[in-house]
Amino acid sequence: MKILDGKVAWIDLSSKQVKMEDTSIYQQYVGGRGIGSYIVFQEVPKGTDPLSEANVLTFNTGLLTGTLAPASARLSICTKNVSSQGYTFASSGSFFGLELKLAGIDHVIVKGKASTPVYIFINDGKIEIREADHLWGKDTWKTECSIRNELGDPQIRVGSIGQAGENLVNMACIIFDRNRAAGWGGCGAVMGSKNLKAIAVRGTGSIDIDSPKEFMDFMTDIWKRFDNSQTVKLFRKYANYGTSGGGGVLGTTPQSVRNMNDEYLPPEKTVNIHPQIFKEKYEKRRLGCFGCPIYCSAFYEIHEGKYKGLKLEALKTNVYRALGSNLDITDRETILKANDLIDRYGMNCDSLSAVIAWAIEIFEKGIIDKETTQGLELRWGDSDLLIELITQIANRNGFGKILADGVYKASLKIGKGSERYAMHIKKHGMCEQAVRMNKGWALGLMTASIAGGHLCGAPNTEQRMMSRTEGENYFGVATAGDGNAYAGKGKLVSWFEKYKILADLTGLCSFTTYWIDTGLVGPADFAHMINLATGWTLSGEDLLQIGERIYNIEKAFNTIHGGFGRSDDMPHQKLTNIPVRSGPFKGSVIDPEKWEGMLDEYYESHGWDVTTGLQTRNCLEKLKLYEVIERLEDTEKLID
Amino acid sequence: MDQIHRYEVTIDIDLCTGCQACQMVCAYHLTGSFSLENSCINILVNNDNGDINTTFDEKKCDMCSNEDLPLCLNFCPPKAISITRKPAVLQE
Repeated sequence: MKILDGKVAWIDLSSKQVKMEDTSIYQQYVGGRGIGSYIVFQEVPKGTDPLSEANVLTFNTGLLTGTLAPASARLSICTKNVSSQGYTFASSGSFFGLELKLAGIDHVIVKGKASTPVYIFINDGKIEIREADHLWGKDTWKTECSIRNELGDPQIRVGSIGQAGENLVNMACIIFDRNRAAGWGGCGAVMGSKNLKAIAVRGTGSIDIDSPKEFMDFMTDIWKRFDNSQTVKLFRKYANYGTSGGGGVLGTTPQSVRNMNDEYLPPEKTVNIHPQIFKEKYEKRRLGCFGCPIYCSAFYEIHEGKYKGLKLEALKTNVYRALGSNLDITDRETILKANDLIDRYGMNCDSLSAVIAWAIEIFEKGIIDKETTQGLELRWGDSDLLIELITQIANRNGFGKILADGVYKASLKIGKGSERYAMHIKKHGMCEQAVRMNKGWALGLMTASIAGGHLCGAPNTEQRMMSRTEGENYFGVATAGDGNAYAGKGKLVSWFEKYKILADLTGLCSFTTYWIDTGLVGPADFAHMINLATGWTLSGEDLLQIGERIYNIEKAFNTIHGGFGRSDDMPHQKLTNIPVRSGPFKGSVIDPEKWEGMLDEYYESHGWDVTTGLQTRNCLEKLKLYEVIERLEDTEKLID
Repeated sequence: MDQIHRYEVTIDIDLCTGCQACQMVCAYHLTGSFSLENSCINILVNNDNGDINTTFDEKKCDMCSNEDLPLCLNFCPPKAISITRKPAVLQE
């Protein structure tokens, strides 16, 4: 199949109708998150409940998925955000995106709601909606096994929800290949609300590109860059966890601590969770996504103790801090067991951590008691409690009934001032590290179009302590590597917001980009790859303009559906009032006045109105986003 | 009778990460298209226990004739692949 001849499959679960259209009609949005965002914007009416039939759930492969562009099989799930009521995308590694592309399908758009549980099976372009009553109630691993057995093919790839998605838990996510999460925005709950248990795919096709020899010559060059990158060497040696989990290799990397009350743990506290110990005690082998030159994952097995025999792919930095430091848990095997459970039940680690950590904090402060918790004593560092709460939340029983609605809603329900301790960004639970000490990173989190998370504009330049010369040369921001600096960060974040979209358009992983090393894939490289694959003639600047367009579509969706403005881009009171208590970042805190200045610069960089944070007619006309202008005019939130 | 050389592609299982880049690049060399079918190499990761199973079809392998280097070597980041040339055999 020629790379531009793929299809968009529209699947209406209410009518059980399937309609196919050519992906090429969406060419201006390129692929992946670009097309997904546009379709969500077009399809979802204002005021739609994310858990209603009127929401759409979209699965979007990248334009270059199915080629040997490095690590290019990432999948973007785009839908309406269950927490913020605005936009979300969730990004998943795994092999699912590749299989879907090889089946001839670029995008799957799911509408409506099935009357009883179903799963979708895509078999080399042929699409079936199959009965799934026998799968309902199973965790994601058992679901994958069952589907493969039922269809008689162990190479079928599956994305599914566990009990959390079935129970419409706020934090529910979609799990691919057992341990790869599309985590953000409650997309697992959206899937559950449609009575859609799983999507399975088998693809035995092939992809033909415009200039294969030139493309492969370029790929030979691109792949070599990974061998030459110091950051990639670190990933290859220590895996994702080792680079910044558990304090990182040197024990000095910031961590979320006790509901983000602090961001540093001394090495003596993290000695038992040092990356080297995980490697020595549990690592069976390293693993990578399809075609990945970094292989940042690993397969672990526990050989003794309470969880002897546990086997899983692990351990991401995010999962460590969410199930570890943010709850003051330093027991390695508890963290791995909890990781296993959230993959099986299908829950996002960050927003899950936010609600559990909040509950512990307000219990400690006496705002709630054992009557509210139905007998549970909530303490920091309690491993058994974590395991119990994960199970209760996924199944919406016990105290889990309140927590299952996410930290924002739970705090409104409890009241009594508990709202003050709820860590969230635009109502989506938050668990992040390095927020107080890296101001650009913090800005990228607060302004992200998906309500938090660091996969929009949050730059890694500060953690890498990028030199002034490098910052100036690549981003026009000499302060890019200085975490303390506010000046220049607005510009830096707005640049990363449009640049990172290029990875999501093409299916490449963020780790292949300037996000981790300016020696890797830049805008001109993305353009060259795309041109050689498709015969188009885009430049790096053209692509950044496309990224800006797509980001503005997402922003407009947030304005229309979430009603967000400047006040929603402010940091949580903990981040401005409670400095880091110890370590190399002692005293770090966000200065509210300087934040306002940084936000002004950010809005100006996008061409948005500085006072309100809203989009301007002028900016959208320059981007030729006329449909967006029309929709915003209806809301009276377009600034002239 | 012609002499033909066979090549043995060996994959170090301890180093392999299961990424299947070698499987795809081999299929690309043989067919000009990107796919996981029609390759000399097949990689299967067992998600239950983390084992990786690999197979190699030596009859299909032409050591990437017309390439500078065997492509599977070039596209194996953990350097798990090695290639040895087997003694010449006579073809009937």
